[in-house]
Order: sequence, then C-alpha cells, then structure tokens
Amino acid sequence: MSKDFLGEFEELVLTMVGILQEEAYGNAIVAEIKQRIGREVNLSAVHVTLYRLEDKGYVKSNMGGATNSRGGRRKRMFQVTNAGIAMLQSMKEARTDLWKLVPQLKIVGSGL
Amino acid sequence: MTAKDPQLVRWTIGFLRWFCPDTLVEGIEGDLLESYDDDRLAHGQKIASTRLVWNTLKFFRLSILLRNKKIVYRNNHLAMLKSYLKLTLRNISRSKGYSFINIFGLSLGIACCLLTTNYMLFEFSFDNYHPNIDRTYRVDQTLFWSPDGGTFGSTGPVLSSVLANDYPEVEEVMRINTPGDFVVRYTEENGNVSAFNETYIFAADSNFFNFFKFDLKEGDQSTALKGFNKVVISDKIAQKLFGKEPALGKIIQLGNDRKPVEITGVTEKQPENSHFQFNYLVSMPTNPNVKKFEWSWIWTQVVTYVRLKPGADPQALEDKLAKLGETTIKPFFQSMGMNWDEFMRSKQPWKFFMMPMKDIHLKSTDNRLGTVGDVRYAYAFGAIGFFVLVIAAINFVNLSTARGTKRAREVGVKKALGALRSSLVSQFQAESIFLALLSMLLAIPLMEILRIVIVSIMKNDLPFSLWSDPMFLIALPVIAIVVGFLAGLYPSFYLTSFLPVQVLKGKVATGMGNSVLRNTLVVIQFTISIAMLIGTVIVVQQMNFIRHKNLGYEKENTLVINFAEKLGDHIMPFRDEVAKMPGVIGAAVAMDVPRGQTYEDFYTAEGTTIKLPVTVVKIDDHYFNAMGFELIAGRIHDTEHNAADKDGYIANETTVKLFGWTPEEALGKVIVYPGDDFSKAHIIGVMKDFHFTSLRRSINPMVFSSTESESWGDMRVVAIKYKTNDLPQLVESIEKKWNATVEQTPMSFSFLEDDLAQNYKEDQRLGDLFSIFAALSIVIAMIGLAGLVAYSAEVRKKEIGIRKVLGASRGTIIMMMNSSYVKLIALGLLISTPLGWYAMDNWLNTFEFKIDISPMVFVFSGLAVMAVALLSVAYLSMRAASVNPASVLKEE
Repeated sequence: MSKDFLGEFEELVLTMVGILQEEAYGNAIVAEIKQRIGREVNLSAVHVTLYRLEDKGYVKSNMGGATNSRGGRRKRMFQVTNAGIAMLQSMKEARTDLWKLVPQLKIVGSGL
Repeated sequence: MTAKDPQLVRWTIGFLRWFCPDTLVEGIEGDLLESYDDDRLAHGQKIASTRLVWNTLKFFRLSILLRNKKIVYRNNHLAMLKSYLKLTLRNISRSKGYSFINIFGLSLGIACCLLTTNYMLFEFSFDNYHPNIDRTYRVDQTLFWSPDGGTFGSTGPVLSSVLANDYPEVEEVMRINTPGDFVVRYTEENGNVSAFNETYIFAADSNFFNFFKFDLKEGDQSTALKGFNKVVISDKIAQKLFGKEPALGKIIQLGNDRKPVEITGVTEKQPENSHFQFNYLVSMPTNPNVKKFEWSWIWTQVVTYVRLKPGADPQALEDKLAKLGETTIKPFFQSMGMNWDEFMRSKQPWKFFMMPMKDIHLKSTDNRLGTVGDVRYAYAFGAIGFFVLVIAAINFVNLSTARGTKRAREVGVKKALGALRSSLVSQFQAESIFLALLSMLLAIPLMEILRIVIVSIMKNDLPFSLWSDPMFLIALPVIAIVVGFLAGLYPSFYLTSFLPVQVLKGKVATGMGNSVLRNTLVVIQFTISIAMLIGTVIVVQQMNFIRHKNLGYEKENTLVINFAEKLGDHIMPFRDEVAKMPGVIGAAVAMDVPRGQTYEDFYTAEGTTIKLPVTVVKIDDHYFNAMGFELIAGRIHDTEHNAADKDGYIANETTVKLFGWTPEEALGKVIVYPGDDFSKAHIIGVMKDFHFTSLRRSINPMVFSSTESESWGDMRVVAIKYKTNDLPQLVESIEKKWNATVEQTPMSFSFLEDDLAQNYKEDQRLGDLFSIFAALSIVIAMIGLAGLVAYSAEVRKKEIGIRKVLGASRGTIIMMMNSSYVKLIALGLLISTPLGWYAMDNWLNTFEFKIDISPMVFVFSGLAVMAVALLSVAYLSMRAASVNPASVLKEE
C-alpha cells in the first residue's frame, strides 16, 4: 500500500520522536537533528511532517503541561505508536536485506 | 510573550493565530516563541525578530492551511472560497482582454506605489540606527555671516567645551571638522608611490563612534581616533590603496606637507542612509588648525553634535544658550579687539538651536559634511505613487461596474435560486481581492524593471532594497487585500443590487447614477494625469531655463584645473604654457570659478558706515576677459604694467549700489577690510552683475581682487577656455605639462558646466522622476479609457447599427463615441489647472530666478492628454463605426 511508504525526512523525524521519548516536540526535534547529524531543518517542516505522520497513524500527540517559558504555551508532545515502531522496523529490515544483496563494495581510491 | 515585546512580534503571532488551525496553534506558537527567546539571548533582538517572522511565514503553507478545513468546513466557508476562486478564474478566462487590463493596470499602479513608497521609506530612514538617536542633536546657530539671517549647521570649536562644562543636562559632545581635500600618497614596500586627490576627509573627536554607528572591519572603535596622526578609512579607500591586504597599521601621507598618518581602522560598507559618509576620518589633533582656533566662536569650521541626558528638554537648553551671546561671545569679541555691537548690527540675535540628528537629512537646510534631502520632495514622491495607484484602482472600479451588465444575469440566477445578497457581495469581494493579489504578484517584477529603467535614466542609484525589511513582506499581501477590498467595494454592492425579475427579463439596469460615478472617477483620473503632466512641463522648463540662462559670463567650453595651488610657484608659467597650446583660447589663474562657493567676509568703505558681506575672489590679469565678464565702468587689472593695480578691486553692480554709489562715482573709492591692513583697496572697475552662486539665491556683493595682492586667498584653479575638436588630446597635453611640473600629484579637472549642474542635481532628479511617473499615469489612464470605450462600443453595438441604417456616416459615429470622454478630459483639465499652478508656483518660489508659468503649459498639457486619448481609442472607435449594421441587427 502506498500509505505504508515513508519519505526520507518522515523517517528521520519519526526516528527522532523515538529517540527523544518523553521529550519529543517541535523545537527539540529540530535541535536533535542538528546535534546528531548536523543538518539544519526548518521548524515548520518538522511540524508539517509530524502532523502528516499523525495522519498516517505512526505517531500520536497530546498537549504537555503548562510551563513558564515559551510565553506559557503548552508543548505538543509526540509519541511513536505501535504502528510507527513496526514501520521503522520493517523499513530497517528491508534496507538491511537490500544491503546484503549488494556485492562487496569498496570506495574507489581508498587503498587496500 | 510579554507586553514589552516589540509590536512586530505581536503582529507576527497575531498573523499565525489568524491562519493556523485552532488545534495546532498552541504547540506551534510555543515552539516559535521558544526559539525566538533562544535567538534573542544568542543573537540579539533584531536577528531574533527577523527569524521569527521568517519562521512564521514558513508555516503559512498549504499543508497547514488545509488543516483548517476540518473545523471550517462545517460552515462551508472554505468550500465557498474555493467556488469563488473557480468563478474568478472562469471570469478571467471568459473575458481575457478586460482581465488583462484590470490586472496589468493595477499591477503597474501597485509597482509605482511600491517604488515611491520604498523611496520615501528610505528618505525617512536616515540616521535612525545611530545609538540613542532620540537624544542626539546637531547644534545649529544663527547664520551671522549674512544679514539675511537663517541658521547653519557649523559652529566654532569652543562651543563643545562650553556645552560639556557648563550645562549639566549635556551628556556628551563631539565635533567633526572639515579640513578640506588633500592629496593622499602611499609608498609601497618596493618604493612605488601612488597618489590620489581625495575628498570627504573629516577630522573627528575620539568619541566619534559613541555617536555614529559606523562598524569597523579592522581596528578598535574606542582607540582608533585617540592621539595625533591617526586615521580611519572607508572600505572603498582601503580597497583602492591596498587591495586585499589588511590596512591596519599602514602609514599614508596626507597633504602637500606629506604628513605621515597611521591607519587605525577600516569601516564596513558605510550605510547609504547616513547624512554623511567619509573617505578619511582623521583624529582631531591631526588637524593643527582646530587646536589653533580652539577658543574661537567665529572659526565656524566644525559641526558640533551633542547628546543630552535622558529626559532633558532641548528647548530649555536652547533658551539657556540664547544668553551665550551677551555673556560669553561678547567678551570673546572684546578680547579679540572686535566690536560686538558693530558686528551684530542689523543682524538676527545670535542663538543656538538643537537640530535632532534624525531630522538633519530631511528637515535641515545645511549639512557641512554632505548633502541634505528635502522633506517636501519625499512627500511629493509618496503622493505621486499614491496617485498613480488611485488611477489604477479607478480603472478597476470602472471596468467592473461597466461590465456589470454582463454579470447581471449571473446575479439574477443566483438570487432566484436563493442566494443571499451578503454572500453575493462576498463573492465579488473575494474576486476583487483575488485579482488584487494577482496584480501584486505581477507588480513585484514590474517594480524591479521600473527601478532598473529609472536608475539608468537618472544615472543615480535608488539605494534601497525591498527585501531587507521583514515588515515589507508582511505589508505586501496586506496592501493587496486592502486595495482589492476598497476597489471591490462599489462594484460588489452595485452588481448585487440588481433585481432578479428585471435582469432575467433582459432589462439590464444601466442606470444614470452608475454612469455619473463612472464619469466622476474618469475625471479624477484625468485631473491627476494632467496635473502631473503640468508639473513635468514646468520642471523641465525651469531646468532648461537654468541651463540656458545667461549667467553673465561664458560658462561653455571652460576646463577647470582644480587644486592648482599644488603647482606652487610654477602656477603662472604653467598658465602661460597652457595658453600657448593649440586649441586654447585663453588660460587664467584664480581663487575659484563661479560654481556655488562663496567666500564672504565683512567689508566697509571709507567715508561710510555701511558694512557688507562681500565675496572676494582673487583673479589674475587674464581671467576677466577669458571668462567673458562685462565691464561697465573703469578698467580691469593690469599688474604687469601698473604695479599699483595689485590693490585694485573690480566690484559688481550690487556692491556699488549697496554702498550708495553710481558705477562712475565708485571708481577710486577705497574698500576696507576691518581685520587687517593689507586689504585696503580701491575700485578700479565696475562689472555687470553675474550669478556666482546657485540661481536659488539672489546676487550678493562680490569683488575681484588681484592675485598680486597680499590679502588672504590662494590660487586654486586654472581656468582654460578652449575651442578644439579634439578635447581628449588637449586634456592629455595639459596633463603631460602638469606631470612635468609637479611630481606624484595627480591632476584633477572638471568642466564648469558640469560643476554648475551639480547645484541642481536634486531638481534634475525631481524632473526625471516626474516625467516617468507622469508618463506611467497617463498610460494607465489610457488603458482604462480604452477598456471603457471598447465596452461602450459593445453595449451600443445595436444603437450604432441603427444609426448607420438611418444614414449616419462613419465620421459622426466616431464623433459620438469620442465626444463623451473629450468632455471629461476637458473637465479634468479645468480642475487640474489651479491645482498644478498652485503646486508648481510653490516649487518655483524656491528659486530666486525662475520662469513665469505660461498659460500655454496648461493648454499644451490638456491637448497632449486629449491627443493621446484620441489616438489610443482611435482603433476601437474606428472599428465600432465601421461595423456592418446587418451583422449586429440580425440577432434580435
């Protein structure tokens, strides 16, 4: 099914939600992506992706408790659903299977 | 978010709340504010705000907007909006011609408006970024050099210490001095010397950077101007002198005495919207003159800036400073042996004024360090842009209502099926706003094209960029929506007022009330475009008048060698050599040529108590005849044969008249400079008045003295009259001669006519901009007119057919088609005549010498607009008139 397909960025964001556990919300994900893989992503892109993942049922969200920072606005916290975990797992497996089919690759010019 | 957050942040968040679905808004808003707070701590307020705006704008995307539908769909709003959009697109494609006129005309109008608004914003942005600008003032004082009064922005050096010591409300004082232009030399390591004639060289107190935000690329602001022989240079000069090498610490030589000066700073690119830019800024002690005149009130060669303590009242300080004349300056005069009462007789009282620094560019008349703008011009451009937009919006309204008949059936059917009037109104509003947004999109590239055209015509940069200001990006769609809403207001109410029964029966309401409004709007359009044309014609006439006015001498074919004092003793031999060159009619040495500078000082005459501010210019024996001045009595200097002529004056008529003499009486009278004994000279000749300053000013007293005189003034120019077909060759040979005379000093020359044109640069610019925008406004009005005529030709198709059957000729039909709006244009001319006359008379009054406004201007403008109108609808009315009656009448 086409719905079962995740784009590269969707997968990245979904993984980050998994990594961050209880602390997964927009800004934290932006910061985590920057810290882990050095990629600058825009907040709006992350939000839109999160909502799309929610539509597809891979994450669910609820509003966190009120805070004094962020002008008193609550955070929208995201958690990976079971479907999300299954999706990540199947993608990883599919990739490993494919990788195994590639003949021994060497980077040209890397010596022995 | 707290109350002290800037307006921008609140607006941005408001914008987010407006478009963002309620379910999502809290999470998004929180995230945005969180990163805004982080940015503010890490990068400061400005960057944080900019990022916030950008980040918020990026949320304005379909995948967020469409999430609204879950909530909104219940009310059908989004569905309706979609259907409005579809209807709009259908309407556009059904009548491509009208839609093109509508959209293109409006976007042209918006483009003009954006451009002029941008220009206006730029003019108003001058100096607004300097620290504590609201407490910073330039100290102006009464223009005591002139009996006419007025104020000027220069003071003596002593004022700064008086302010700092005696007035507790003063926080800090800083002076900038203008030592003049220098030759700057740089000796490279390999011994090569490069030399340049440099301008915009200033000297400043060491706290300069506390007042002005000129960022340094190299060097330290706090120490750069401390001590002797330091200089901060601009990025451009650093590039010119050293290329890519670092400039810091290098030594350059200033002036003829080759004073070595260390470079202690290089600025970043200096902001265009500052009331001055400098090439070189030396530390104050580097100019020994400032020290020499430290105590002086009348050595007015510095600009004094002052910062008051928070809460201090500038008016109160001005009142206190008004007493300085009696308490401090009078004793100063006495200590100098000068008579205060004598000096101040028949003059305005000596007062000081606090000119807010942010107003220097637009509201002051004098700026020692650079140029000033004119607030009236800034508003004038803004108004022009606004009027062009009005013309375009009127097209929009007119075409929509005119086409109402076409839409009447649609409205009738909808109403019959139960549509509420309110929903029809919102349909037409949505359509109009949508078209305006479309025009806005088109307007942006149009504006850039327009800007390129204007820049290339004016040969003058319009130094601003739309995109640097996030406010502007928010403003764009808002402007479009407002324009669309206002322009759609009348059409939407008019179109929805049709009664379904009538329109469905085929009776289309073409009521009189409607055409009255349409005609009124057309008259407004033509009033504006004719008024702008009148303005253009008058500005162009005045500029021509200035260019061709007989100034009292021959300004044509005059080459001026500037900084001729660098020739030293060789100046006279140089003059004689040049005079012998082929193509040279005459060469002469003088203090200056008449191009705007005045060198006034107070003189009196023996046997009278009258004192006059007289400009004294030293000239050699050849100058008078070479420049073509006119003598009316006596003779000119002839120091070669008559040594006594060195103390002779040639006075102009005004001087003689003000001293109360006839030209013949004046000969032999002795004019005295109260300051020293050298300048006692007798009048040997009287010349006809000529214009030695801008035509904005009246002719003041001036005399020519002799180069041989011992009085003040050095020889700064060699004026060369030429008559040659090969000017470059002539310049080259003069330059060769120059280089053979002085080493390592570049020659600098100009043409007198170009120098004179500099005095009227702003006016020239006004004229150019006026003509461009007048042309655009006429084009837009014509587009609209063509649309209306095309429309009326269509509506009156049958009428025309019947008239032709009954024997009307093509000529009569064309007359009929044209007569209606010819009347409207005539009415427009009638209204615009007094308006244009009033505005332009005001402008002309800024000139002392000006043209009279001729009634022909109005006749010409009216006829020109009429002719363009007739031409632009000629094809349409021809086509309407040549239609075959059979083909239009068979339909019924």
